Amino acid sequence: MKWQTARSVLLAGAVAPSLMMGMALLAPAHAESLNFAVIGPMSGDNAVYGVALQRGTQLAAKQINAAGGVNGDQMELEFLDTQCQATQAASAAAKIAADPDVFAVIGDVCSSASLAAMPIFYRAGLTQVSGSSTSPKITEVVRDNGYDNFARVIPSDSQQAGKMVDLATKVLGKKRIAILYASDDFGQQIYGYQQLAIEASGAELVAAETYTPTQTKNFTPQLTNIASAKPDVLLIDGYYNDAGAAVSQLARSGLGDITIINSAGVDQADYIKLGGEATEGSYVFTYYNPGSPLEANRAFVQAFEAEYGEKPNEQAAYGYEIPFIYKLAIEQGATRETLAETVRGISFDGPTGTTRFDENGDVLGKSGAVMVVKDGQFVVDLDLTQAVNR
Amino acid sequence: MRVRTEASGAATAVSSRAPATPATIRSYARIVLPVLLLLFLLAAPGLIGSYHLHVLTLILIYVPCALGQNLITGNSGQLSMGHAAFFGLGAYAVAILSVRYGWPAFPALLAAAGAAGLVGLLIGLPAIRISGDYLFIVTIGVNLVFLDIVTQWVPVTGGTAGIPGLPMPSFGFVRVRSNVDYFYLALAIAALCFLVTLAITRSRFGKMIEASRDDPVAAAACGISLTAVRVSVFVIGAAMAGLAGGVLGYFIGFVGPSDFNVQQSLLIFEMAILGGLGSIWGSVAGAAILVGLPEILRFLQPYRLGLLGLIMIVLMIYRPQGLLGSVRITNLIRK
Amino acid sequence: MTAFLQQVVNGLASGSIYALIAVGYSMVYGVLELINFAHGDIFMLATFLTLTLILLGVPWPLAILLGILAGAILAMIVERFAYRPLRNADRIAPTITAVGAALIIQNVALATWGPQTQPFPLPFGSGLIQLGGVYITVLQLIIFGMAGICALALYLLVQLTPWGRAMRAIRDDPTTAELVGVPVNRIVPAVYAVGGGLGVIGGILFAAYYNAVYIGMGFTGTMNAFVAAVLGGIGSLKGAFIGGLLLGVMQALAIGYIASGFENTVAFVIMIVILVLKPRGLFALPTASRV
Repeated sequence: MKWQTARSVLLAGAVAPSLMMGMALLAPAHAESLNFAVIGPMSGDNAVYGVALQRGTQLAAKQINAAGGVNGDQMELEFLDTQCQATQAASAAAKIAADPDVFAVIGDVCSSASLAAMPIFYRAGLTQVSGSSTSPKITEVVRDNGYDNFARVIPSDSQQAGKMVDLATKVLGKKRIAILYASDDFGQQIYGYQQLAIEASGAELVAAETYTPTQTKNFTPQLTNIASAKPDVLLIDGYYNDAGAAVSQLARSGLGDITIINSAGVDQADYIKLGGEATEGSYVFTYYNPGSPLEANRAFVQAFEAEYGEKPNEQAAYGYEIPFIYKLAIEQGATRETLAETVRGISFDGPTGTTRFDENGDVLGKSGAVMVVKDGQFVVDLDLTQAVNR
Repeated sequence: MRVRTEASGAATAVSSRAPATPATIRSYARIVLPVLLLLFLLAAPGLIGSYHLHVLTLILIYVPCALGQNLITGNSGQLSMGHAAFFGLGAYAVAILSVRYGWPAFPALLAAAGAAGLVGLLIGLPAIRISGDYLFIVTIGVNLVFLDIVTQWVPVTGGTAGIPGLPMPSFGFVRVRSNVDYFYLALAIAALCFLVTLAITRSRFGKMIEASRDDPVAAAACGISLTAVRVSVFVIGAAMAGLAGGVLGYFIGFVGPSDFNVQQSLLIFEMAILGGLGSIWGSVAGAAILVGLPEILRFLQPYRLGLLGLIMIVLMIYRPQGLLGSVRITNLIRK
Repeated sequence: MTAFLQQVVNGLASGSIYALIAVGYSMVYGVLELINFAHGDIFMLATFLTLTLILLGVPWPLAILLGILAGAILAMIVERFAYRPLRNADRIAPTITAVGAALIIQNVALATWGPQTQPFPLPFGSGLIQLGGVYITVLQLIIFGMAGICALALYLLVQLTPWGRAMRAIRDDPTTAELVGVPVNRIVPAVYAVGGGLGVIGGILFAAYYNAVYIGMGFTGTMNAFVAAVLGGIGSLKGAFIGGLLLGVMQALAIGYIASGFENTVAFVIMIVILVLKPRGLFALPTASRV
């Protein structure tokens, strides 16, 4: 018993200091270049979105460096995996905040991860720009805590919710609306705003069902309920994989033929792959239009396709813009300390249109695009896009 | 207890000529090493950088979880794998009470421990009737139910978007203002739970816990109420995790469901069996290794699951008592 | 009423899938008293393999047969390395190694196929039969048919063949079975193989019905199979089958009429109630329980 205790003490005493030494040895190395940290879910259930962000930012850095860098400095990106978990995001943020060589931060993808990392970056005086955290909660947190170091280039879900309802009611003239939403921060929030918008529009919400993203695969109980309420349009607030499965089950179970409007994020090629024929004619409302005729967008899509062999999606496009926004701000004279202030005052023209920010770091004046699945491909429906932006 | 005499016999042979006998070395080590560790921890904020301090704080937050798990599984022999639910319950209690109702830190943390303990009681009671490996799955189920509730009960828990903006805690005149303060808060809570666990295991109650694990029939014959002993252990273990969860909530400043999934339960469970069942220092070592290692070995992230799995199989077959443990998990529950 | 019947039909379809998974699972438990935590992940990996073969152009029946074979072999490998070294330990250690094996299989699948959900193509269209307002799809009919055929085949295998007799002998008394010359080390892996193979059939139907092949399907399958097996009385094959059907219907009705988003809660509340009130399930084995 005694020997055992001594051995335990010895081992435990040795573990902690050696752990610390191990950490010290792995401390980040110094570099001369201009360093940016990118945080996002590079693995796990949301890896698809993290990888899209990674590709977008990488392409931007490559183009910037090929054109001479930022004021002559080469742009370097460091990617940290947060798996969309708050604790992991906080650890990654602490690691970044401790590194004086990091100039600014890009990310996170998930709003919950961004929310966990924000206070740490704020205390460290680091600028953080997110390309896909769309939760309206972020606006509240930024306002309540005075997080003037934060900005996001993608509109909050509160805007998107209203646009989806507008598309269903005003543009397509539907009266009986059903909603299937993911029970996560994205789905729950957007569903809340849609309820308000539907009430204001005079249409009727006849059914609302939820599911657990990445876990629910059997949508038939929800779809049976929805079908028995006889809606004329179904809004799906979720992700490409769930939407693909739900839409195909809708068809496989013969629950009828109704108009489907998906939220942004479903505009992935895999949605069509998963849902097959059933996705034909369904809509996706998104804040990025890969078919947009803007010169910046055409060049971006071409370069992205040449680099990765596929069309860019929303996360990739918004991710691509952030390094350019940083570059522009630095060229306007921003230092590490004044970067956030300069970014918030900027006006930048990129593939998604013009980017400007309000006093909470929320993006202004983004217009949406309505995509429709036609012959197994996403195409932009120009008429609907115009109508919904009117 | 099963004393591993062969190891201590070898040590005696090696140092038999030296004036300092192994016994005296051991008694010195028993005092000196914990003191050194404590001194190192007290001085840590001055010695290590902010990121390493962050990781060390995280380790200290997981220590009470591992201690609680170990008390339930190691000392009491109940195969529970839903500890993340208690951990999360504490975090949510603190988040809701501090953000929504403006509670100060001390009562909020007490409530976190109390809420987790209460749910521990609710689960511990039926657990008496559910044996061994059944309990294992039932507690995983408890974790899943907890996740369902916190994701769906949006008005209270904020759903998956969680609860952001937890204030920095203050205890009367003592206010937490920086990461260094958080570190000391985590250290204080970890030390408190460590001492409580030590006191329990050394007490008569501790002997009753072990007796009801090793020979329930004899223990009951001696007048020990198995129900009372097992349920109180469940309550204490859950309350410790709840307390730790409260500290985690304050530390991260954001509470959401993704940190309290089944994988987290698995991680805490593994802290206890890797460190060693029934060993207090084992719980500490388990937390240090399983929280610290993934941070050091970030590049191994894609293989994390498989590594955890491999550790489980190798431990069970070759070292069922864990690194520092005295109890072989294989002896825990008889048919 | 139509909507209610529709929910029941859909619940029976998912219940049939649970039943197939639970039967293989319960059989292993009956013989070895081991919670085979890796059961779901074995069929997950095998279903991914089947999908890959189909996408490579291997004919459907062959791809499915190869998938079932792969599941059976994988089950035997897991038995050999994670369970057999602990055959004489108590039940706890193999439960933990089973979790370990499950995690390793998940990691292998993740590294090979990535985290994305993949669709499972159907070789036939989505035909419908309408019975008084209730729709039944061709796929659902196939699921009901497969579940019935597999249950019958298993029943005949266990009751009528020498292998089945040996299996039942080990289940009733392993020590005596070994003494009278039952080749335990050959029969036990075979039990795993049959259980694994049945699981793969369930897994492929799961993939086809929900049009999704993904890493988490193993965990979902394991947990639901456990609940189904407990519901029917673990170790009893008939119990596991009926338990699976009941679970499917109860989940569908709960989601349809109580609240969507609580599938896990429904399953586990049912399980805890059964374990506390009727620990041996609805159809316990006639032999004395060894739990």
